Amino acid sequence: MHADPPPLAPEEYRRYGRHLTLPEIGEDGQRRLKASTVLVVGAGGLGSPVALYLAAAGVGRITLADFDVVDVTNLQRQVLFGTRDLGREKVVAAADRLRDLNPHVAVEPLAERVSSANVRALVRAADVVVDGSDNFTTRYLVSDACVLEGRPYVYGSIFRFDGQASVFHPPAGPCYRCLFPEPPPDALVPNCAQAGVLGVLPGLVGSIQAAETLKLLLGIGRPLLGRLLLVDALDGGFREVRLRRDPACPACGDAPTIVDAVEHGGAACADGVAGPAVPETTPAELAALIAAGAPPLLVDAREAWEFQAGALPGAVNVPLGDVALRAAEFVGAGDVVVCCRVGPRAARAVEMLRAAGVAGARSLRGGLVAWRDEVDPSQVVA
Amino acid sequence: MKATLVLPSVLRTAVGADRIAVEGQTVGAALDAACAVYPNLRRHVLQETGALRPHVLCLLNGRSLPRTTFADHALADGDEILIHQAISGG
Repeated sequence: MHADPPPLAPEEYRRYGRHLTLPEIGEDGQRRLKASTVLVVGAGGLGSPVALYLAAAGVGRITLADFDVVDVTNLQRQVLFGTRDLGREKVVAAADRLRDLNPHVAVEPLAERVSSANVRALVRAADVVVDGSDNFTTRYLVSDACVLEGRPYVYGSIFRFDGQASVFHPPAGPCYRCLFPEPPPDALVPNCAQAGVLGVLPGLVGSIQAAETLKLLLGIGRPLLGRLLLVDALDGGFREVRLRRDPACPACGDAPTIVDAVEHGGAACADGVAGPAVPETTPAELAALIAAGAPPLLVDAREAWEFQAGALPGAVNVPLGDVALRAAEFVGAGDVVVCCRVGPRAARAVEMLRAAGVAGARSLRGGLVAWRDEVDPSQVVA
Repeated sequence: MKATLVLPSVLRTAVGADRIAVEGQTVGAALDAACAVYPNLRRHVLQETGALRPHVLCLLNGRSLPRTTFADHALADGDEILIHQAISGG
């Protein structure tokens, strides 16, 4: 990895004393960590413990990529942040926290979306890549880039009470596409952020990712290569599943067809990720229709708890996960305006409704947040 | 053969069950039996052709079954069929 890793500063000998005592790490291993660069994609539930533990462990350079800002709903699980960070760019707040934790670590905050344009250079610059993203588009993009650049990909994902973790690094083991060749169709996408997640679950899975990353950097132990760890926090159990490299895999198989890391445009989970382009109604246009006594049928694509906290008068709650099943109810309903918090879920719902024959479906541009900001300041938005 | 089909929490709400007692000579037959009782299960796990959806894994007693032959695997009494799928939360 690095032929001549840098020496430790005097203060670092005391700081990393518990590592230096371990024969598997020692001074040589600690210097290897100091010489290492890790790319952490996503500063959310998983990225939080990953970045904290890697910084505490003395990984020399951590590039942290996320374009979101800290929201109060993050604080239930994203332990990088505190109440004082609300509204700040996540990577900026995270860099402050990590530098405070360990000033010997170089933290590179990247407040950009990881995309086709930058992913290969970012991956190439790292020794190990850790995926803490929250959407399939980024996951496949980062995985493909890791295959193409030959970097180990430390995988983790969470949903409700379930977690998954593995290390993908072909040809030594399979890649993410060997496991799941394609993302699920939109209609079957688990509605991640809105369906809920046990706050401590990313702590469990992210800590496993951090441990795997340190093992890879140090060259010690048995990595989770070719093994998928399944976490069921309700059951209190871990299962291990053996995985094999798929010779027909389009990314790492014997005749790969994926020759560049390109976004496939699959489903995203976070409100901050743009959804598909669909016909829209602005908050002002909707207000005018209501004032004229010709309101459209209002469909709220958020989860029930969000709807109950505050919704537009007369709106019908159809959570995004149910839209495909209930679309037939709205065929022939005339004008239908679908809303969510800020727009992406409504956009996907409109796409599904139109595909099912609801020709008059449109999305409320900017969602209920825009409605509150532009029309009705008293609107409560969970 | 009597086996148990176990679903992850991501599917429990959509399907309406977490552990389903199934009978059949093969994994495919047992899945078909479960889908007859829980129609939403088929939509989430299988394609119209009967193939496993690309984002779904089928495991028999902890071993991942190949996508092309998963349905043909013979069942023994007490076997556990575990379904898992891609999740994207972070």
